[in-house]
Amino acid sequence: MGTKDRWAGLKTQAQRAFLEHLAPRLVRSGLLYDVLERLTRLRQADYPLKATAVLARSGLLLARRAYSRRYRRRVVWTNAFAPTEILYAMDLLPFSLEVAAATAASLGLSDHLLDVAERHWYSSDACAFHRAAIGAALAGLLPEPAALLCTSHICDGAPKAFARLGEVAARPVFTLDTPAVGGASGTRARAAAEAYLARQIAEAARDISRATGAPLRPERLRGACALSNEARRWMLECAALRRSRPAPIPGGQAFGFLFAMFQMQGSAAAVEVYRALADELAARRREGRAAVPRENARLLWLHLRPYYPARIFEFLEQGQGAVVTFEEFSHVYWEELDPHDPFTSLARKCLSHFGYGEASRRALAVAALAQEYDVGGVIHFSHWGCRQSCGGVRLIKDELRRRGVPFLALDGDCVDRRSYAEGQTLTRLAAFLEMLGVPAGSGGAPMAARG
Amino acid sequence: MASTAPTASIVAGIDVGSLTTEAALLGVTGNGAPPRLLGQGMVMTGHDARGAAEAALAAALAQAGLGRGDVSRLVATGYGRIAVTGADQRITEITCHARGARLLLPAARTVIDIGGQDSKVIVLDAGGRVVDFAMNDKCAAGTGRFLEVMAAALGVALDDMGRRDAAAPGAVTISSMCTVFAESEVVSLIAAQKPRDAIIRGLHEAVAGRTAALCARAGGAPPVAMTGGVAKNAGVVRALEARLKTRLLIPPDPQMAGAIGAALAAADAAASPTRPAPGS
Amino acid sequence: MVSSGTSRAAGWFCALTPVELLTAAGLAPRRLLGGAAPAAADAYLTPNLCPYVRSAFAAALADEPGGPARPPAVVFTNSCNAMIHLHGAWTGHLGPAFTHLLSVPRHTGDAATDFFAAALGGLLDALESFAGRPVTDDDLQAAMAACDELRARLRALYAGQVAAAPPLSASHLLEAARTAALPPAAALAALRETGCAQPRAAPGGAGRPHPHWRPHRPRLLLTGSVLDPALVAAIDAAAGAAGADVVIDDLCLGSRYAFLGEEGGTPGARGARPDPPAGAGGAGRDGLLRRIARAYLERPPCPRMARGERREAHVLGLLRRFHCHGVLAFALKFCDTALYDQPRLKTALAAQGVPTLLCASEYGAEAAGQVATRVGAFVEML
Repeated sequence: MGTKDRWAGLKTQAQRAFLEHLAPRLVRSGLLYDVLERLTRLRQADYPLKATAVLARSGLLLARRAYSRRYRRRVVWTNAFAPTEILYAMDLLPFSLEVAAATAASLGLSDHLLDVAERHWYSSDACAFHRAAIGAALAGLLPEPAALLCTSHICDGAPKAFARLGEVAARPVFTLDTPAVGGASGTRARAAAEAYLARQIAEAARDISRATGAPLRPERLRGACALSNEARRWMLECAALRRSRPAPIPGGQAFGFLFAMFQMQGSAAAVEVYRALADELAARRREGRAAVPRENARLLWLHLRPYYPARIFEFLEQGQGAVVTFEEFSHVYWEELDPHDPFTSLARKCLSHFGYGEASRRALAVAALAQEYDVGGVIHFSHWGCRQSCGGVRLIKDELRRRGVPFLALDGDCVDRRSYAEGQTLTRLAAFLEMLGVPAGSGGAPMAARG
Repeated sequence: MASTAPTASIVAGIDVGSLTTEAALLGVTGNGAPPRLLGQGMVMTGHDARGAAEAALAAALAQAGLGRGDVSRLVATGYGRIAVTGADQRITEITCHARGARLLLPAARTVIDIGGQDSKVIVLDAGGRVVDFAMNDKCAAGTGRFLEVMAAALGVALDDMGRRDAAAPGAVTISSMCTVFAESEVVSLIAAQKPRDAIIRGLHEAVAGRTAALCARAGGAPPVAMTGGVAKNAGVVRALEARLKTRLLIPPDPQMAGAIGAALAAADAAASPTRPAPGS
Repeated sequence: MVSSGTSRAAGWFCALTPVELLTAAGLAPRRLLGGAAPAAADAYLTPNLCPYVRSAFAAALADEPGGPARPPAVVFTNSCNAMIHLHGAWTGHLGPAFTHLLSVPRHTGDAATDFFAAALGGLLDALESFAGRPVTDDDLQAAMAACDELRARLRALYAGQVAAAPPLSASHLLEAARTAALPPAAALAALRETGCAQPRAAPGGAGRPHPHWRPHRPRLLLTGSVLDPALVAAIDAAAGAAGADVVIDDLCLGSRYAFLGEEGGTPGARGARPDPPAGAGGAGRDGLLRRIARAYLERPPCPRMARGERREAHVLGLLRRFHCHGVLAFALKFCDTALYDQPRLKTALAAQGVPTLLCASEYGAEAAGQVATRVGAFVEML
């Protein structure tokens, strides 16, 4: 074994030691967040958008609190669509596990977390977001929760994964069962579904209040709903501004704001983040600043994206001028909440998610977005193990084809970088762009000579 | 391949695949007449994509009696397109295969390309433009590699597989989805004294099944053209025709479609420098 | 009730579908069990999806409209994402006269029962429009009684497994369950002919006990959701050859369909008073729907339902009642519910000293090959 091999071996051992022993402690150290916050402030100019810096600061604050002793009994593990408003109303901290998995992937930690999960029998056919979350919980890298709150929409892997996570954390799990009602369903069934879900949300709020000792006050609930509505108005503003031609920001930069969508609704921080983004979008439009120098194509992106370093957006947007004008998960699909009837309106919000229930709902919603954003093509990132999104791809494709909009299903994994093949992925994207008539890059194929 | 009409310019296309590299030279008259194929070359890619591209081009030039300096524009395609030195443009093999197949078989609305290590289905509209495609480049099953591995397990020459299929008394069903498991299955079948030719036919059925499924996913409809090395295997062709319920259109040199398509793209740009690139 | 000869077929998949409503509406319920190679469905559904769902869709694709695999009416549930997508693909591509996506709660209790009763009301309304005639309370009660009778016969068959020497095979049990899932008139006739009575004496056919059966062989429980009949036969054969018997199942198509263990809680149970009517639609109807709703939600839980502890308790109960020594847990590939449920069940059972074999398989004949070695090795381990 040569020196190079020995060095690589040592490096792996060091990494493992760090992850198994140091990382759980580091992530709970206030010093880490001090350093990161300072870095964020210093490097503010490096952020592509000012609003991203606002988002980063909010995220760091949230993480710092979640891992701190002060918030010991105030963290609640949540899934992406859990109604976080009820938690903010009790001054509790939602900690979204899918967001945590995405963050771990962006830090290059997902390999380790997935290994940990696999050692405990979690099959690699299951969604890597949940596997990585379970791995993180088993590795002690998540902040101790007082309770877990998840919804059965839009995927049924989530409540199952959360049941296991509840055992790992030895804490109660509150599962909100979301009926698949909407669209074609009758009014009576819809009303019954709202009542059922509203009752569950109310009971969960009460039980979480008891479990954490955090009081649940009607005026705080009203406040959280009002803040959620305010953030929603800014989200709508952002969505409207992003319809401009040329697109004001590239999708690659907009994606990060899903952190706020999944994690921060009902908080003042979400209002701050989306207002900052809206202001910036408005300014860019006024000044005529576009996402890319030459907009060769406009795209709509469906589902999520790889969170480990992958040059997909760089290739599409900066490389080929094919801008992702909007992404599916940023779509505001729900009505304003009624602060005086919080549980019913939160139930309505959950039930109105277009991604759950009759599959045609999503197809029609996507087709409408494609039209609103005047896109030349739609890309669906088919995350391995995500049956809720991949199952309906054909219906979306057909609906778009009826309207003359080209569609590409791109296979991949958002969290597990071991299955990412960049050459193959970029070839498919390049072929899709060629289909759309985007002039092929001359001499500048996506991959620079890499080893 | 002597030419009598004047040639305005000579363009080249190189398709660097994972197994083989092809080059095609086209003569463009510039007066609206279709381009003429002047020469073609094919080499094994091996470990050196750059070298293979140069060797294939040299072979094509030699066949045409031309020199490198005669080529006014070069377009590279294929998995190794980035490695081709001196390429004026790089285009994906999806677009190039479609164009090449369309030139060779103008009626084609779907192109099935089964290569050494991948397979793809490309759907065209009436005008020959790509409107959809589906690829399998993650799994060896259903590609030329699958047949290569099985031929070795059977002790049969790869080129002989198609001929032996015709003599088969029937087909032994291969149920494994995976190349590795299918290989074990073939070994067991040989040990159980199943006729080799029947096993071969079963393997061709398996490849045809995977390809037909890919075709259905892409929404491919007749007329269907087939390109790539596996198109030379009469057994696979027959099995695929049965699955798709249509005759397959196969050009005389099915492996050349990508290089020809790349050369056509070069011809577009050479014929009118301001015209937009292929696919627009 | 209209006999199955003249009524239109209504297809269903998931055991959470209250077939009582289909029968009451004058339709002939038919459980759709797939049977075609799943790959044909891949152009419409993603390949890494439940093979049973894909097989059912592939079978429908290959059939004529109105054929056995493609009935004019089909009812789906939101049991899982795969089933929801099956509804989407079926409605979008096959266009039958009637489809319905029924939401079934994951919880039990009053709130869930209220909701489910309302959802059933919605389904019944839709069925009435399709059938072209109203469903009376008598229709409902007759349907509930008929389904209950079939289930009771099935439960009697299962009960015999406790002491039967030799016991019936799992294939036999499931074949009886499939028969019980036919429209009531046909089911009763078939059961009278073939089989709840004296099956051990019947010569030939599926479901005979293994030729080398002896008393005191290890007894096994087979758990999972939907399994292909060919696979179950292979499991029986593999267990038998290794010296064990599968004496009881915990499958959607078998004991869970029969409401095994919940005799008093079935929809048509005698002596049970209808719940007080909840709202409009006829004083009796709401009460009857509530009874059906509550019975379905509180019966032996499947892995898809929310509370895992109920599941363990139920499986342990079966193990005790049927004197089992080990568990075979077969999951379909890509079934998220099983991926999370089965490892947990294994751990819980191990804590009680019960060994479990975990297997994931395809749906269809190819799956059978891999079974023998695994089951054999497991039995040897016992």
